[in-house]
Amino acid sequence: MRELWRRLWDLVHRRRLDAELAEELAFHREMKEGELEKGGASPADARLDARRALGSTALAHDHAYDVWVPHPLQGVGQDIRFSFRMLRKDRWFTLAVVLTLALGIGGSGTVFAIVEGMSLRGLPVPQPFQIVSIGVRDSRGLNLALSAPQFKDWSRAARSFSGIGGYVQAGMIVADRGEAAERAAGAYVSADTFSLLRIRPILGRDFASDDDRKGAAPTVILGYPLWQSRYGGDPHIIGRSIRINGMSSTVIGVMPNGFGFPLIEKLWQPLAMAPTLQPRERDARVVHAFGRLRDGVSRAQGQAELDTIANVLAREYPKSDAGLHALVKPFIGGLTGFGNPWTLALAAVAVLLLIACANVAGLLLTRALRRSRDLAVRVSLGASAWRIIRQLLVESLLIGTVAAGIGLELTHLGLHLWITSLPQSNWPFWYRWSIDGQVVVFLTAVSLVLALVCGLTPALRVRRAGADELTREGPRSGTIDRHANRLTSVFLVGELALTLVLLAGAGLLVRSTAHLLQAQAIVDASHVLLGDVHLPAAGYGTPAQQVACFRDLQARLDAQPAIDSFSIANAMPFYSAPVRLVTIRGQAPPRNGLLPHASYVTTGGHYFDTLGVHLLLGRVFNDVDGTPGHEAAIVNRRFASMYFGEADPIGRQIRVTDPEAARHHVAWMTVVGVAPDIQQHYFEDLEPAVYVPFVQDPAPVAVLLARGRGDPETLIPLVRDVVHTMDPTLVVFNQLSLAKLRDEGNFANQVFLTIFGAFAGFALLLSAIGLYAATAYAVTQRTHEIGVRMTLGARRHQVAGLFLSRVLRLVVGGGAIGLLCAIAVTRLMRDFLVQTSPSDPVTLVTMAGLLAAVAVAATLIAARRATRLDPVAALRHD
Amino acid sequence: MGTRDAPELLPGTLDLLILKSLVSGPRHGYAVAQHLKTVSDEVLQVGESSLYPALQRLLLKGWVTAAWGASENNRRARYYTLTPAGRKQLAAEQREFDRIVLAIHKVLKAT
Repeated sequence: MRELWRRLWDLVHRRRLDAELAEELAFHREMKEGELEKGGASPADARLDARRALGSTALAHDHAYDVWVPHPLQGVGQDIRFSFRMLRKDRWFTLAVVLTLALGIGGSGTVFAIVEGMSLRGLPVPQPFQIVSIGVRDSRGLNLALSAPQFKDWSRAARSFSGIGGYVQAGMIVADRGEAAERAAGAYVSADTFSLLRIRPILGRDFASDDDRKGAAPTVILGYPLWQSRYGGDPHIIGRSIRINGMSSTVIGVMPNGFGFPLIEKLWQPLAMAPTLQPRERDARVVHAFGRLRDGVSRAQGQAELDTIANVLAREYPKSDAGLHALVKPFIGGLTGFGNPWTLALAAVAVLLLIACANVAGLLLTRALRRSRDLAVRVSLGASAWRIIRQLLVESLLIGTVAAGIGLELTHLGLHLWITSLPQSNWPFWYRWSIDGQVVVFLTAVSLVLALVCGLTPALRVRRAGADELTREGPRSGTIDRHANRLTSVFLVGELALTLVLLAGAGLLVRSTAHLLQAQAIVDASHVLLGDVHLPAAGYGTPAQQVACFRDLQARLDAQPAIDSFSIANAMPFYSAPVRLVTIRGQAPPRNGLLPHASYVTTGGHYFDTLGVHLLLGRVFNDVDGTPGHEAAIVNRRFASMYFGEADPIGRQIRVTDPEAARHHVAWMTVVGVAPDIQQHYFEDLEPAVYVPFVQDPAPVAVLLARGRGDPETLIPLVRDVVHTMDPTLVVFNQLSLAKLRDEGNFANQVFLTIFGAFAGFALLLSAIGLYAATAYAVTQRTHEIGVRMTLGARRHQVAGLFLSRVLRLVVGGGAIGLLCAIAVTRLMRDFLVQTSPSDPVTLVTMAGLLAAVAVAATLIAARRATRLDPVAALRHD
Repeated sequence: MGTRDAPELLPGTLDLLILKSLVSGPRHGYAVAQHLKTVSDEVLQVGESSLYPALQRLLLKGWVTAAWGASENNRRARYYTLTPAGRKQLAAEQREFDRIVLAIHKVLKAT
């Protein structure tokens, strides 16, 4: 250890060490001279003899020096200084390389940081990766939640888990005496939920098993935001009674800030209070389960154990539980499938980095070759191949370090942009973005790999060229050029191919966005106001009461002159809707593959009118539709073409079933009309949809849609007052215009359009730079040849054609490979492309054309210098 | 007059010799070389391309220390002094050397 320190100390004080050694050796020599002179030699002879006797002073110095500094590292400082000088000399080259790498690093860092903040960190609870979600997959391949009895059985029997908890999410209406009611996302949770997560209330107590029992006194635990916003952070809130969904409940606890399990929830009640819970129905699959795996137990082990339990239960309850398999997944499923747009964004980042890397490697190689004479001189003066490679590596590491610094800043900036451009909304409680350890590790790894790969390629290339080859041949030499050209061509073809893949992805998103906006335009969203109404169980418990209430509301709002059209529905357009399985009378269900399914929208009579949508075929619902014996449905165009093909859908009979609900009799419905495709889910393709009259399947919750003439938000007080006049206990929540909701839903689309667009543009720019640099280099190389050609009468365009033909060959090669890759890769985008085939020929051909055009332009600009050469000067060019 | 390096020494022997020559007191590099030459009846002539690296090695290991001082002819010279650790090392190396020489002797005597 001491020795190491002394070595380090001396490395730092190298200059002094050198001087001392030199002085010591000089002294030695002098003494020797004196001795020889005493022996009778003349002073001059003595000096000569002394030198001869001593051998080379320099050699002695070097040998002594070697003791101090391990040989392979000698002169690294010199390398660094030299690299700095070289980089400063080639200012523009350095700038291009550093910026390319920095943008690559910054872009990838940003996307990685975003993804990491959303899904790689796990829940903000102790040992987050022990928490898994638990569901079942039935024999049809559908992923379902658990039924209440099954949840009980599993949580009692499973040994691989510290425990299994369950929850049911629901909107909860919070009301207190003398204050406006408010609706918040809430969850009914099993009593052990918070203790399984290892999160304790900051105030009061956790649920006890006695709270989670049928008939127990209603209790509630508040989330921090609700406690702050509604109760001003009242420290004496514990024990207070508040009304939740019309039921008086005692506040027993407050959870810490930033906790919103399972997603965005703001208050919690015991699972037993969930109105949808059917404790004895094994078919009603409403309980979402999660578990904490015991220490050292893997997910697969947990799944295997649950499967064993499921098999036992299947024998006991063949009617409901047969064919069920346990499904144990990471709680945050973010980055599983490849269809996930963020996975694709990460892949795009990797592709971009590859392009940047190829480009920089190409630039460095070109530069290394330009310096080949300089290197040759160094080799002939005795520099080892290792010294030269090391110097090139030091150079690329220097570039990498600077680029990493800028890249980190760019990541900061990118993340800041991302956070500030996020729409105000409820994001899952675990979303948290920052440049943390994982991001820094990622950035460092990326920078190092980039620098090494970029630096090593030319370095190895130079090594292979070998010292004698370098010495024998000047910069105009043939062999090196041929090797280098081949390598540069490989880089360029790869670059062009990858660029085309990114361009294709971006192009598809542009086209998809155009289709999306077009599909959204059929709905007159700018004049429609939305709102939610929840009917309390008291007074509205039966379907008949619910129907009567909404009929009354319809009549009252129809009477308002400011409202042109009004309807209720179970879901907001553009946002989300329940999905049901579909059976078509007279048509066997497919054996394998996707079961027929459709979005399921229950509507009032004026639904299409309110949205400003005209049916394509048939008629809208009348007053008789939906009454027993007159079950009716309107399908959208996609439904009709998917399930009826060319045949006339009007008059056909269909049935929809909820796979998570208890299986009781469902009536056949007659198709009476065909609607155009209205987007029902945000960031998804247009799906088949079935619209049915609300009276056919009433519910105590409804979305209100009111169409006026001006800004729909001016209708907010009107709608609220009409509802309030009808029944003072009813409140309208979440009033906003349909246009705003639509734009919020389009955010995801915009994000990916921006990311892929930016990446594709950047890749295109890089390819252009790469081609430009390669051509410019070729022009310098062939100046002499061009001079000869021009003297012999070659025209300017023929000279340009010389360079163009090579680039065209590269473009054709790269384009062909790129197209094949694009077709293979863009299929993964299928799930979020709207009305656009992932191998859309128009997009692919357009993008290939764009790439070719840019490539030709970059080449011509670079080749222009060749056409302007003075033949005589060119001939003399060395 | 050709100067040869010490005839093939056993590895590590040069260190031993240098350490030994420092036992009687501090010497500079040239004096060490002179001492070895005189005492060995001019058999061991150490060139500085092996002497100085060896001295540096000993310095690094902490067996000798170096200090600048005035030489007999009033020049600045670097004097090497044996440290206690060096003394211990010398004893150990000498024992080892004796053992090996004895062993070699035995091999040569045996027929």
